[in-house]
Amino acid sequence: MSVLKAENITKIYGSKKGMLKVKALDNFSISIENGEFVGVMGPSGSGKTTLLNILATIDTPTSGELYINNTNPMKLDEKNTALFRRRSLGFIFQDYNLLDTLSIKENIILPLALEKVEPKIIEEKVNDIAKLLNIKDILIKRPYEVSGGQQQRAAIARALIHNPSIILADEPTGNLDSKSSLEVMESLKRLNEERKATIMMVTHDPFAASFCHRIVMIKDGKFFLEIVKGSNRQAFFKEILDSLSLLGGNYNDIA
Amino acid sequence: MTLRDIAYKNIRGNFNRYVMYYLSNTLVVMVFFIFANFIFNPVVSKVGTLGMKGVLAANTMILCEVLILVFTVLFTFYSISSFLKSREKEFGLLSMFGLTKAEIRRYVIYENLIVSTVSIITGLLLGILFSKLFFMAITVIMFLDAEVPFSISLRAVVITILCFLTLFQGLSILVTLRIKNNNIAELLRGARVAQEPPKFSIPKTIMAIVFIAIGYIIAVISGIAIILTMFPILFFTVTGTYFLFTQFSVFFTTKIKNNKRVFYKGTNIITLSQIVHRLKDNAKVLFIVSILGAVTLTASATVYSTQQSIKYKTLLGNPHDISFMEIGAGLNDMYILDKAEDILREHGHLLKYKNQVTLLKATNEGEFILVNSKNALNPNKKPNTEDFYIMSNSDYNKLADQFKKQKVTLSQGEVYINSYEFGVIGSKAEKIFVGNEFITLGINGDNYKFKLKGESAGGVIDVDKNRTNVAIVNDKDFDSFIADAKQEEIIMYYGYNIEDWERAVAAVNEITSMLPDNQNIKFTEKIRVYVDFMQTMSLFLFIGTFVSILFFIATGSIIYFKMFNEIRNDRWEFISLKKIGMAYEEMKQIVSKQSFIVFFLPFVVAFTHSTFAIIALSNLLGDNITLYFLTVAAIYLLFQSLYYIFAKTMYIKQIKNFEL
Repeated sequence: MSVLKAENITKIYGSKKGMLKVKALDNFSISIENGEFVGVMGPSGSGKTTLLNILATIDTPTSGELYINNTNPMKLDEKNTALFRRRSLGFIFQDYNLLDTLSIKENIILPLALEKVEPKIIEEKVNDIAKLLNIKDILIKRPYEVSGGQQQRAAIARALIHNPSIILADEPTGNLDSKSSLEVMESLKRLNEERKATIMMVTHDPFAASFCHRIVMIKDGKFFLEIVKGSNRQAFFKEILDSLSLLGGNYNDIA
Repeated sequence: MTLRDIAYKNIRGNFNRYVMYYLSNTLVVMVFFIFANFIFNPVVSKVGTLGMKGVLAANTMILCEVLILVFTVLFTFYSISSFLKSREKEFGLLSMFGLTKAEIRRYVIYENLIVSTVSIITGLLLGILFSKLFFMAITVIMFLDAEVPFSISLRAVVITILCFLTLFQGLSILVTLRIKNNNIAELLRGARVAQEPPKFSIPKTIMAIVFIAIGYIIAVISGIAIILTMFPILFFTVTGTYFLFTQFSVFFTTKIKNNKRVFYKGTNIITLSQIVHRLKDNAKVLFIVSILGAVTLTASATVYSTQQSIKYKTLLGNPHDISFMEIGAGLNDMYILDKAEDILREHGHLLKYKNQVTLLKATNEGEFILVNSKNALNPNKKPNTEDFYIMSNSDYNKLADQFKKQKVTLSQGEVYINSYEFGVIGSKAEKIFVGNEFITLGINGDNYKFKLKGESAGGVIDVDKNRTNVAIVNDKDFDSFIADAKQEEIIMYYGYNIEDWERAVAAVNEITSMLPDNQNIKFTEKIRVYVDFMQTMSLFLFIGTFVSILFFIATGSIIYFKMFNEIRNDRWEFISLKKIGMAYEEMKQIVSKQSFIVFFLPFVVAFTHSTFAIIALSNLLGDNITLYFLTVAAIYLLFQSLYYIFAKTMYIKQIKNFEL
């Protein structure tokens, strides 16, 4: 069963008269199955972020259809879109987006608190997920007191705690060193394997991408190619690098 | 593009943040100029034209000018420094482009120069515009016959410009000296430096409550001693309030946060954790706003209630506007009555009531218990319980009807007493004859024992200060006393009520000059003293209102200003929240709750403080001024609410514009 289905998404910026029109997405389609871990790669300006924003319901496509869990979020009003986002989606950002005024624990439970879940259940869930992501010791700390990797893992916990239909990750390792990147990617992998979480991740980083089951490459707003992981991550990593050199753009340097 | 252009563009771009700062500056300048223009008006300084009241008004205004300046220093300092703090990122960027510290300072000073020059100019223009209105208002309030001639004093203009230019610029230079751009990387991160969770100290939290409680308790129990205990009370409440905002607020919100049922519920988690920071960051401002609010509220309530109390007491003691007493009814030439009526008519005061009452003198001759021994006029003296006038029941009821007072019905041998022993300000009109079942009055040389049926403060005729009691007796008793009395003992009282009596000072002056040289004709009027008192009080009230409004708006705009400076930080948080699915309505809720607390917490504190101040004052004056106080507080609350709605709307408008 597909959790997310986007069909023929087109996004044109600059719809006003006289403005330069830019086609950020051009008839792009993607479908993500339950329990999948999909990566989206592409050079700068390829439309990755636009795609993610549209899937995240914080931007609307010029044309095309989007279904998440058989709901079309584009048909909802502002309030219900926000509620939909809060209940069905989980977000991981490059800059973590944790609130400094809240402790790590409070940041994690935010989606549940907004839903007015019983404090007892909240406590159970937060302990559970903190154990899984190995952040139990930092729960009482503030975001600025812990490392970037720990912050990102806290953000992952926040994205998952309310069991969303799909987690959308935007360059989750973009601000992290290689050790933290590994920690974060392994956390995501664990979520995907142990919790059957469906994840879609936009990334630049071939190493991070090698944790996915499937990579969709996008260029100039159009589907470019898709590669599927075999049994071995090392081999998949190589395959990704090869495909990226095909993709061109700013990946030329790598090849 | 020069530095000056950048400064100019920056102001235009940041209109929202500057607008309240600009408006309050303008208002301050305007009021300052209006007062100065009045003080320097050539007519005001001449005692001959406006009388002592003009000088009093001018002196009060000079005091207000000093207050305004002191306040402006505080206000400007706070505004500029919080403004600069929120712009560290911008300064970091400018430094990165290679601007030196001195250049950045100059940039800030330019910017300030533009805002302050514009506000001084608009303030002056508005001041000139409203000066005329102010003069007219003063004329009305002081019942001046001729209006204070309108003129723009050049000295006032120069002084206003000089004062505010030095003040604004001096402060902005002073504040910019504090710009330290040692670490550009740090500056670039701007205000998004980690905020430590606010801490509180338990002893200081306890002190906040204990100190305020001590202050309140002393205030309530001191009574007359308040004159001595005033300073300790001030010390305890002010210190307590300081800790209330810096410590107790954090303690309290932290305690709420520990209650997971509340904290983990919907937007509370955000509201509470942000408000902790907001309260701590703004503690000093909120403290100042609360204290200023308390002072304003108490002062306005005091002046207003004093005015109202005088009005009430005057009407109680002198139901007639003017009255004559003829000792030895029918033995004197009372041509003055016709004369007085003529004079009143000539001045355009139509007669509303004209009453005539026959009275007799009497003295208290029996055993007498004095329960309420306080004499309102002079604490060292006992109240007068000796001297009486006697009036007939039917005369009393006729007048009681006219003045809408309670009528009485007395049988033979019963007496009802009106006592006039009460102060003009304060001191409840207490009953002084309570505790006596009978009272013995000496009339025409014989003693008569009456059963005391009741007593009320004030009565239906004007009574002289030396004979402050009126005894009302049954008509038959009264007739028999009259029959026994010699004609020269019988007193005829003539009382007048006129239209528009508050403006009859000239007429009264004329009547006074016509009074016949006759010991047996006594003239009483309440108009001159009353009007004099009222004018002075109204003047204070008027000037006070001006200054209060000024303080109110300025303190409000400090809060507003701080709120808008925080938007830049909050913006980031709100965008994060929006991304993870917080609805616009919920963000609106958070903002409303937070601004509600920031705006109304000082009001609540100010209100409670003033309530206790007013209780103390009521004890001192022996008067219940709660109603007046509530009226003033309600007006204050209304304005505060309007301000809150304005600030909240502006804030929400900003948040709505946040793009993801």
